[in-house]
Amino acid sequence: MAPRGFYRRLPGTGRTLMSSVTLWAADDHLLQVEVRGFTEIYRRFYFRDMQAIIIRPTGRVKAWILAFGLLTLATALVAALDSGLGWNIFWWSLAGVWLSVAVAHLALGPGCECALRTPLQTIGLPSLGRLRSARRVLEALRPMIELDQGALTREEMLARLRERAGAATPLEAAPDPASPPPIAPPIAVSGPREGLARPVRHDSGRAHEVLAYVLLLSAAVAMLPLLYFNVVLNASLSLVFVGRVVCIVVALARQNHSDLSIAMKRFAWTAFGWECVTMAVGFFGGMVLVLHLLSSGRLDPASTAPPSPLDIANFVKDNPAFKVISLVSSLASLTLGIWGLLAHRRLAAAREEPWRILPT
Amino acid sequence: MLWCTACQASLGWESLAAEGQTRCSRCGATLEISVFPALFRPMAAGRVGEAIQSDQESACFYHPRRQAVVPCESCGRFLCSLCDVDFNGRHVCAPCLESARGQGALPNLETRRTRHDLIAMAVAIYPIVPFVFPTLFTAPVALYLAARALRAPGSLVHRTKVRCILAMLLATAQIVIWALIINLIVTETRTGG
Repeated sequence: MAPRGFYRRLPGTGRTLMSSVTLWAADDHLLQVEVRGFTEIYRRFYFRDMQAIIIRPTGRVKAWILAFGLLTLATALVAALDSGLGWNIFWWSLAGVWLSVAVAHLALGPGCECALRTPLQTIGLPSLGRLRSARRVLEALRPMIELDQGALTREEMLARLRERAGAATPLEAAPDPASPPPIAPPIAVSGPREGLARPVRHDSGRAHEVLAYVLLLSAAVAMLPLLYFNVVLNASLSLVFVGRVVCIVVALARQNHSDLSIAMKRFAWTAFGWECVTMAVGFFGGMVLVLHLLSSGRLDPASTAPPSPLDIANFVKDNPAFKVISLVSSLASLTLGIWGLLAHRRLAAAREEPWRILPT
Repeated sequence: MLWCTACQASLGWESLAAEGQTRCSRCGATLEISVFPALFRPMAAGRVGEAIQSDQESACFYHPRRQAVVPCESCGRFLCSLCDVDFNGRHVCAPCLESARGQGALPNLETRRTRHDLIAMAVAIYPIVPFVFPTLFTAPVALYLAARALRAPGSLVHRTKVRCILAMLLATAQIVIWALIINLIVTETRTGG
């Protein structure tokens, strides 16, 4: 029985809106503590049962840094355009907040997902979301695991792996090229994502392909309002925007628990991040537009009449910042669209190839 | 066998043998795999109770047709090898283990604990945030909860009782302030009358 004060805190904390997860080491086991409200939920993993620890670096943190960096730039742009002193201070402060979040993410290092393999299951360790902390925990645990299980030299491990490969069933040793690779039972993830893990589903990636084409269409039409103004044309362009949002939502929903490649999933998430940034910039741009219309007297707050669409169009056309934003938006949509199509082609090509037979 | 944590495809033994980072041959995900000797250990075979051969043999309390191999060290009932639970070197039956777990006598089997110290802290702090008036009622409650949390089993990992003491101090301060305010009001009313 473990006496109190027996546990040693390990690096890393996994946080969600409602809970936090930490890892603690005892002499013979690892304790995962999840705090939900006023309750602590414990899971124990004994060192004698640990078969493997798998760390998978992810681009999640890079995406956050990019999103917050773009938010900083957008807010700084609005601050530079806005001449009012009070608003100026507000925008620069907001830009400072976004920048500090981006710098904090940068300082904490790249992200990862960590999983622990035991004879019965593979468990996700949500507290190890950073590569640095995951490696530190692994180095801290390794001597304790070796104390319980004994150490294997690299040669011994290779010999045992070869033995295993030799002793495998013919199907395991040389899989049928036409058949898909064996799929693991779903990972049981503890902590905030606890619950019955869903099985991995096959997805053709069609939703992502459609999203890529819609992005290319967006890239083509993004500059149109700056070159030619027409109310009907502008209204129909907003349909492209709605279609893009729908495509992103569908792609994200389809890729959840699917067998799509990492590149495809990353593409959909990047498109989502870019859409968020576009919306944020559009919101700030709209505010700047209203401020400028007010200061130029073209919009009267006392009047109930809406501003003339032609006034707005002229202002947008004449403003260099809006031109830059439209150009950047068009280029980003083009890049994303091409990336999505290439990722889809790569996925299709990989699926047409037979499963690579590993040398025995 | 190990699986890629991104696409769930099985990993070849070359991936496991690779030093440093390796790539899943199916989805291309980068993986750092640390393998331990337990991966090569065969799964222990499950035990089944032996059937009773003669009238001279004792029967299991829970399985009358199975041979008893050991008595439960807690309740004394005879157990077959199927019912015998080896817990930290002690032979006990499942109901005794369950009742001990229910009573909180076995910290190693606990799966959750309520943090009474956090509740006391929340009751002592949160009512201050929107308005001060609720503290007239919540301060005594927070004091009671903090006193209870001092005796209640705390977290398995956070040994400190500092939150209980802070909640008690905060609640006491609120009570003292309210007592002074009430005293002031009463004195003013009497002087005015």
